Amino acid sequence: MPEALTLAAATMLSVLFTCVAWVWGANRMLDLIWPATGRRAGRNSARAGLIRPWLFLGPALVFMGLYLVWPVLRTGWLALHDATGARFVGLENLRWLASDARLYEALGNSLAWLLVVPAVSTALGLIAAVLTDGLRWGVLARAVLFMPMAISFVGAAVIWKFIYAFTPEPAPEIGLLNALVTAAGGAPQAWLTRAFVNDLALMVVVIWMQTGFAMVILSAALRAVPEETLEAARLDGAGPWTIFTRIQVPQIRGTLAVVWTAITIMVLKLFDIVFVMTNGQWGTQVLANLIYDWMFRGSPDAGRGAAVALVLMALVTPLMIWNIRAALREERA
Amino acid sequence: MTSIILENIAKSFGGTRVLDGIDLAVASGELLVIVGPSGCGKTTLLRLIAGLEPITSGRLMIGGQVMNDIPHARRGIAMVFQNYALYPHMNVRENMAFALRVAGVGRDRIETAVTRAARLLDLEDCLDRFPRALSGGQRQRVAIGRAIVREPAVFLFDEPLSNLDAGLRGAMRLEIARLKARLSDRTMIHVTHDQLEAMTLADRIVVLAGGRIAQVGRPLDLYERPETEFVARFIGSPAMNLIPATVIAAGAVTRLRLATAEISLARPTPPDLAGAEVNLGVRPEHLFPSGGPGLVAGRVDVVEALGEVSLIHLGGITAKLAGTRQDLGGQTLRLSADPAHLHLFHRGRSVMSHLPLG
Repeated sequence: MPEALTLAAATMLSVLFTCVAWVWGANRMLDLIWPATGRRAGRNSARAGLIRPWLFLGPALVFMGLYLVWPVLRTGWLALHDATGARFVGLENLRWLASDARLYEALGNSLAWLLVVPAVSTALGLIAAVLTDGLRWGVLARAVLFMPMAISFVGAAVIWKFIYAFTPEPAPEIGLLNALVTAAGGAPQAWLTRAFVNDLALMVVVIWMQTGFAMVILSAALRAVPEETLEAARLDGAGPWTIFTRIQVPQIRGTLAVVWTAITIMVLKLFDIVFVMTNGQWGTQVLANLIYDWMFRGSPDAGRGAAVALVLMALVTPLMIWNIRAALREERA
Repeated sequence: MTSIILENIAKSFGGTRVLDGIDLAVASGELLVIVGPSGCGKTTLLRLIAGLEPITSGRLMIGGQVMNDIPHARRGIAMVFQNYALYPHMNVRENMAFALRVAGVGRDRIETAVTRAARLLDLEDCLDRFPRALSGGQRQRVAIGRAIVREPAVFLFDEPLSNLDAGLRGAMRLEIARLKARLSDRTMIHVTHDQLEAMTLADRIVVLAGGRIAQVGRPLDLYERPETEFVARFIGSPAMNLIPATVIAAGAVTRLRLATAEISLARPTPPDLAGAEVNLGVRPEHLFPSGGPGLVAGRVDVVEALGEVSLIHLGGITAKLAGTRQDLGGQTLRLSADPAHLHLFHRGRSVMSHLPLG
């Protein structure tokens, strides 16, 4: 343990030192090659000025390329090759994908997720934001609602797996949901293996996690709505519901859209919950889990995995661009 | 035909009393201006009338009906806010139509009302624009338009001009005066800290100080017959000069000892005032240089030449003299005033009866 700490500290220090050394050294080098003195001072400093930003940006660009751009290019390359990446197969993987039933199952599920989770999370978040605003114990309620955000997806999945747990007779039931069902006089169910019900069960977990996120962002936005506009509306004769729907919500439209798309993107990329709770069985497959299946399970096929990844990327990219633009617009406004 | 009557109104926030013992009757069709320094409770008073804040104690009547617990929407009032409070997501037309739409008024009648208000306020070209694309003056007019379309019996203005620059403020002040002339049967209450606004717009002015009414009266009443030192100094610019004096004799004729001289005033004061330390009040515009002993004497520190007038400062005293008087800088000056323009304050209250108003 002490060795590990020493190592970490040493790494951090050396990285820090390298950074400082790079900036200082590169700057110094530039000044030596094109000194801003003597007869050519003006031209030299102009030339150095052109290069300087790239010197400073250089390391960041290299690492960005290595960790962000390269994987994208590599995925594209893999998608055009066979299972081991040895042989070029052209569009073969995509052609196979187009007729793969599991892709359609994943796409169908993703669509269902898209329709349900962002809408429900945003709506619940908005309701929670409004209801907790102005309450004395509102802060406490908010903290409780926000807490799921602090749990990792895997942790949340494990927690909810216990809630949905089903034990065949004669062992005693341990699942909370089945406890409720039996208390109400029903028979215990194997929630996670029943098609459709299991999809809803998984969605509940994500909604549980995302509502807090939506609530925090939306409640900040609601507070930014000028108080006078609400008072003016009250004097104009509007009741609480009219004020909410026609004065408050329209003024936070932008934030609503940002929250909505952020959750949408998250849902499209969803992996952990499905992986931990059902592993895509019983009709719960989603795109990210399908990628993982092809990439790393059974007899891995990097080509097919990469092809599915490209489909996911094609779905997420437009939303991502729109989301970033909307967020920037909010920031400027 | 809507009068407003406030009876012994008080308002507390938590344990802090911000308004106390407010008795006020606003006549139907009157334009009443409430002035006072920041924090005197004037905006709070307006919000009580609007129903945006509950009244702690006392009685509020609008049009002969007790309104304490009547929701704002049914009080027949419209309010123009200091920072306009336009709905940013609605264009000008929708902003003005909102109240009528909430009330379920038909499309045609809304259109008529909005068009009429827009014409009245010269907003016809802006109807499809959003508030963010409007200038400060236009926004203010939209806010007024939003109030007009509802045809309220009572208009409340909460410092509507304070966010405008000086030139625009003058123009909008004139516009409110015109609006009042056109809607002469509507009762209006206008809150401001700008005494120029108060003097020019008001039928009557209420001066509020520390949550209580200091004085109510017509603008020139307040200027000519202030009942307290506070009102005397609050109304008029630059503020009234106060010169310490001792009463030698009181009664039908009042004799005062000043630093410069002893003076006699043929104006009655309460007989028991003899021997008291008082303040003699005189407005800067009523002072003039004199050959005699005068009311004050001293060396001129600063001359502020404003063109049409010059402000002469000597000691703590300010005099407003016509024309450019930079020649007076550094000179020793004696200043005097017509006895009719003098005020006498004892413990902050006026003690000398004023001459009848000319």
